[in-house]
Amino acid sequence: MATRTIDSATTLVPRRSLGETYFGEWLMTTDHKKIGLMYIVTGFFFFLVGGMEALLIRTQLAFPNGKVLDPQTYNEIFTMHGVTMIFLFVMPILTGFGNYVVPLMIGARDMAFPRLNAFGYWTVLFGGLFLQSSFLFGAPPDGGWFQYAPLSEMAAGCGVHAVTCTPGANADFWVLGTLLLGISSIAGSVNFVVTILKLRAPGMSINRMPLFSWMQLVTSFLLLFALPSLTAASGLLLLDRHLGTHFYQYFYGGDPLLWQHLFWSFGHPEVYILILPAFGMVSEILPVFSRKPIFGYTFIAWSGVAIGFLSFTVWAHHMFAVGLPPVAQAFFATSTTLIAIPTAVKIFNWVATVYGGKLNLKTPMLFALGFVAMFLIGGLNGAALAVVPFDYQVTDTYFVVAHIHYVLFGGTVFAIFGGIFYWFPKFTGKLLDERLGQIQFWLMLIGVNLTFFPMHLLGLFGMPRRVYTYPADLGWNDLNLMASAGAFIIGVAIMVFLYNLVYSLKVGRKSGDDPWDAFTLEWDTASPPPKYNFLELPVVRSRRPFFDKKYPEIADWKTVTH
Amino acid sequence: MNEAQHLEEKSESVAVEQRSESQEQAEQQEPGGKSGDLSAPNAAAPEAPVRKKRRKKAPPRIEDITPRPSFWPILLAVALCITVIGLDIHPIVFVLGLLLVITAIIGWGVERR
Amino acid sequence: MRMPLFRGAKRWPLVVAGLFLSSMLLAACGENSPSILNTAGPVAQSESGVFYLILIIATVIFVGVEAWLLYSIFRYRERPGMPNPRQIHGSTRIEVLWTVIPAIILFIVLAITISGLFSVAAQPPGKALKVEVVGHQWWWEFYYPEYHITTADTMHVPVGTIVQADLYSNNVIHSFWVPQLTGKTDVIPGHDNTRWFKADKTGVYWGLCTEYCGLQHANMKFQVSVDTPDAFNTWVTSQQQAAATPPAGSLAAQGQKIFAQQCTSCHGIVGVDLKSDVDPAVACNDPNNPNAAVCKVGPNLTHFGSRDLIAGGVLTIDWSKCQPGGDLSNCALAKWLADPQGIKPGNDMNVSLTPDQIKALVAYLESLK
Repeated sequence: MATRTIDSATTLVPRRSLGETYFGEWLMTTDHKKIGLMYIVTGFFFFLVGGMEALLIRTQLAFPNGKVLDPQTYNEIFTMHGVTMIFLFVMPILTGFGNYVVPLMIGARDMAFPRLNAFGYWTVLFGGLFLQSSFLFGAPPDGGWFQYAPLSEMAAGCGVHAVTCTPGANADFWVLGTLLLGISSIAGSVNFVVTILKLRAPGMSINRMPLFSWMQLVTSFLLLFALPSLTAASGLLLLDRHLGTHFYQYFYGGDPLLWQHLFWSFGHPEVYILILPAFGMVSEILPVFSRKPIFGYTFIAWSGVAIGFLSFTVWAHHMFAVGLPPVAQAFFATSTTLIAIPTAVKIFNWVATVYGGKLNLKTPMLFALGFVAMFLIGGLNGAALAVVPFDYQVTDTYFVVAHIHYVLFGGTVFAIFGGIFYWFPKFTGKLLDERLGQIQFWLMLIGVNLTFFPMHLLGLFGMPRRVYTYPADLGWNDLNLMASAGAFIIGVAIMVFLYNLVYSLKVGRKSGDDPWDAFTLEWDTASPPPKYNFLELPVVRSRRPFFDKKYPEIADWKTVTH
Repeated sequence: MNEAQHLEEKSESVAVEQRSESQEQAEQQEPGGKSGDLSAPNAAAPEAPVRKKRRKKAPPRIEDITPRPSFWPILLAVALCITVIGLDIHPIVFVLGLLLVITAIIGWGVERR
Repeated sequence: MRMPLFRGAKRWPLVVAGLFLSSMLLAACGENSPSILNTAGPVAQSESGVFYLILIIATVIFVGVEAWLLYSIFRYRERPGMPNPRQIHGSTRIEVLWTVIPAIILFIVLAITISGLFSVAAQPPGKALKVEVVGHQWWWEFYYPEYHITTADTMHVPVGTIVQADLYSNNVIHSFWVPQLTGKTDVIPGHDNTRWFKADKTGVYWGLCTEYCGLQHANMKFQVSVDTPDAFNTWVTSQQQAAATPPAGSLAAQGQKIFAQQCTSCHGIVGVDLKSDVDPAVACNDPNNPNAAVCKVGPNLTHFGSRDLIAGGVLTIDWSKCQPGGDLSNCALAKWLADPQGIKPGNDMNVSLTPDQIKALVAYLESLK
């Protein structure tokens, strides 16, 4: 604090430094809890942005020959819907939950590198704003979230009839935006890996760590190894576009398929990055609300690791239609089948956790159960896509759109809402309204199924993806209308949530430290936790240290050896 | 009792290790203070009940055990953003951004924590 | 703990309502859709046949697991006086079982997958009709190297014959898909992908571009017209002729003049501005040096009168509404010529023609059978 005195009779007028103002405190914070909250709030804001884009898409597609959006705008909107939801909503919000909860869960005072943590957040914010600012410049990315070359090339790189490639800055915004976001994710991942491996409380061996931390660890490794692929691909694209190289240009000896291989080498681990933390959240919520431990902890943890490794071997299952040699396709079909095994079997573990329990069907539990139910569907239609001859028919159709949204919306988003309802009391000391939460859950469940189930049929009936409209005489009208109706129901559910949020922040019931009678260490602090997290660091003797502390007679370390 | 002692010794050595490891803002276990059921023990003193010899240590200040705020992360993020924008707009902006990035990294490195 | 929200509500009406609503899905059963379940050839048949197998397995698993989940929820929901549950941490035996059994099922499916993909990949030996399928932005061109003919939007093939579609693009990636005849294969610049198929039934089948290729990807459809062998031969022979010369002084002759003045920069007609049909893969391969005399931006119109799709299938022509000298207000071709940008925004055709010019052009194009 700078003070200025003229003489001893003058009153001291302390000037607050920036770090002591409310605003400055947030700008300069290195506290994992604040940073986690910023990630979550920012991520949720972009969820709303991406959701509006989804509603625009569904409005345009509700009727054949729709005139709501012109083709260029539609192409920009569906591209940005994908980019925003993946890079600016799911990844930041999962990082945010990880940031807030993981250090508390493992009994640490903060992340290993607090400033790096803050840097990761600010980069996400600026990267996101940069990407969204592309709308202001009239050049939002319009080549799909996957920006296949040579469509994403400049005119010169495109071929004979090149007037309709990407002459404007659209692809540049995409490249640079994802570059920034990639840097942020790498910073976050390094932090998580070191924190989880080095800063666990005494007694918390790695196989006593909560499953959410396990999944966060695997996700962080995936990010570290997958993002370089994207960076390489984007870097080469940037060079092609601006410095006259020919990496993806067929006429000069380049190859458009190079982009696809590089991109999907990132893209496939990416989808596991989007789902593994959700697996972790569900694995935390289900036991607490079933009043029994997770069934098969070891298996779930190791299957997460197996998925992590295998996810680097399956990328070309996004490319079955490009004309790879059949032997290569057989290889990728095999690796995809392999990765289905740990993924599917986790579902059995979750149901076995619920079976035989004493189920407290509050909102977090509803979302976790909804996750299991919806992710099962997403897993089944994903396994269907792994059947290569069938994939030849339905890839790049609405069948795939159904798959990705069942796993991402019915999966990850449900888990995220479960996590929000579960940890909101810890973050704020208040409970979200239970009744509104129930209404939201049922609306979302109905909405998700009404929106995305018909898309299976649309794919079977021949409707391709990424089309800004469709003709009236191909039998796709009713299903599209159904899907659009469902999307608006989801929109209403989100409105209910927003109302719940504001209402509960104002007059929500106080939650106390441990409203759910939970098992893991983050509940062993005040709600919200003090800046230093734990006054006395706990000693951990089992996988459920807080359960042990509250119920010492039936403590885990007395009954099981872990 | 044996088990408790064993655990306490283990956490004691962990506590020592962690303190020596911290270059930047690694977590610190509470360096002593009240001994509750589950706390890490005072690293120096043995666990024998020689209570009257042990001084009551004041609890550490919050600023000492939690990471301190810093403006370098947000500055570096801004600098990076400028650099990246410069890749598209103009090499001058890119170079300016690069200089800011270097400055931010150096500032980050020499910041006294 | 009360059952959330539906306590007191009658459960059965809800179930019935749910079933009723879901039956709506069946109502939308894809009439006229280019459905993969409505196959007309062996490739599509084997690909869609495996779908039924998947459907059965998936339904069994879905019903089984969801039933287990729902049973667990209802049976074990918290009721007053319920004791605390046994704290079971797992059971290695059960977990091994439910890993091994799904793995076996999955590997059986994998075996079917691999055998299926190999069988569909290998083109059967024997005579095949070669068609060079060219993806443009945003329409399909079909060049028959054996016959030296080219056409657009509609691909004619004889029934019962193996067709070898050689896929060519000199711009961006497209994807060739005829759901009722074959699964898709991407058309990738610089790659020589091939897709073989055979049609067992005559008819006209929709095809679609299924790789996002830019602004008008949505309007890049085509048709495969499966003809009897005789009809196919007739078609080939007529396509091999140069364009019909309209009688002097007729409306069509005026149309030909307008064509020669305004349209030859983008369109070719054999006998007007082209000597013969050319192989696009040869003429249009060099982006630095496209042979503009023969490599045209727009479709070859030599026998446009025998076609009924315009511009990547965005419009279908009913020629009875486009008779020369008649009322053209329902003529799709006239609408197209009047405002191509309004119908397919962003496509390459930028013309402004007077209504008289349109009448003449329609008459001319109608005569190019």
